[in-house]
Amino acid sequence: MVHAELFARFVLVSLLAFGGGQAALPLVERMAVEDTGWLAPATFASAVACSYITPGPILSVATFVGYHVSGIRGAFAATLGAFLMPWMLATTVARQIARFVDHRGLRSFGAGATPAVIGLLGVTALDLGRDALVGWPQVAIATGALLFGALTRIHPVALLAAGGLAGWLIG
Amino acid sequence: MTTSLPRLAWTFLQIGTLSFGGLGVALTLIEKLLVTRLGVVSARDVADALTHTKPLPGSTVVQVVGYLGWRLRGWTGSATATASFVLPSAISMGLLAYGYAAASDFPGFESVRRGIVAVVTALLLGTMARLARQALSGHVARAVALCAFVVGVAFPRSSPWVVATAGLIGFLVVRDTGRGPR
Repeated sequence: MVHAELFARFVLVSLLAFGGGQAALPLVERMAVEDTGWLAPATFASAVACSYITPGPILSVATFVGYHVSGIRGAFAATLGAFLMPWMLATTVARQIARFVDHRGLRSFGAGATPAVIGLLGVTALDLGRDALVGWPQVAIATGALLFGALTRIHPVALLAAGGLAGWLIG
Repeated sequence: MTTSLPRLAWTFLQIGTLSFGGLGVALTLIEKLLVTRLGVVSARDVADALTHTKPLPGSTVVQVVGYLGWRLRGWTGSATATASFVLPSAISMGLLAYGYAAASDFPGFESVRRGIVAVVTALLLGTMARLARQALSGHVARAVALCAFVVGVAFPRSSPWVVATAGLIGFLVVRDTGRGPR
């Protein structure tokens, strides 16, 4: 039963994630932490960190959530739920480009949903910050990462490795 | 131009394995392997794939892969390309999820984790700023984003409703004016 719930919840998340995989993070957080209690806030923060470290789509956070809920089967159900509908939509669009891409209703719904998703990304950043920014050293790490990320072309994985190392050195 | 299913699978497996850093890196790899090396799609096809999948909900990079897979080998090609692309990510996330429980017992794990999550917070803020520059071009859009933030903080379980309501507002505004929220 939990596999069906994982699948269904990630299908819903994927259908509301206007703005790409990043846009899904607030929805995954609400669903996995607040609604179901499947993940503790700290574990969700780690799942997001893992999705940055691994290759491919950020929404692979679904695999992490699914595995924590119900092992390999849970990981499969959540991953399938997260990617099935976006894949079907994209393939349908490839078949009938003009009808779908110029569909006014879809475009206007997305135009309204995207600002909301950006606002909700702020909520997720706030929640992650509450978990990780427990002192000035962690605030300094985040500020340094923000500046390096904005001003240089450094790869995010290198930033994450540096953050982990700095965290370990600070203790 | 077309390509065999095994070759398609192998190509997207390579792209999925090397796509560290999201959509930009994946697009670069797609261009290098599918456009330059194999010559089975054109740069215009890749640009079209991005343009046509951007308005859709869900992971854009997966949709670009699915779109190009369909262009090359129909539904089977689309399924093969998408599965091959997602597989390395899913396996590595599964392994990390498995290792997370064991690693959490190590001394110093919490310090390392907090350092990494601090960087993730910064990366997310950077992403938010980039998206905001692109999408929050008017007062209404900014107001919707601000309302979503406030409601999201005040009512932590409201996210799906917030997105759906904002989408409906956009739907009604565009129906009336022919433009998105400005």
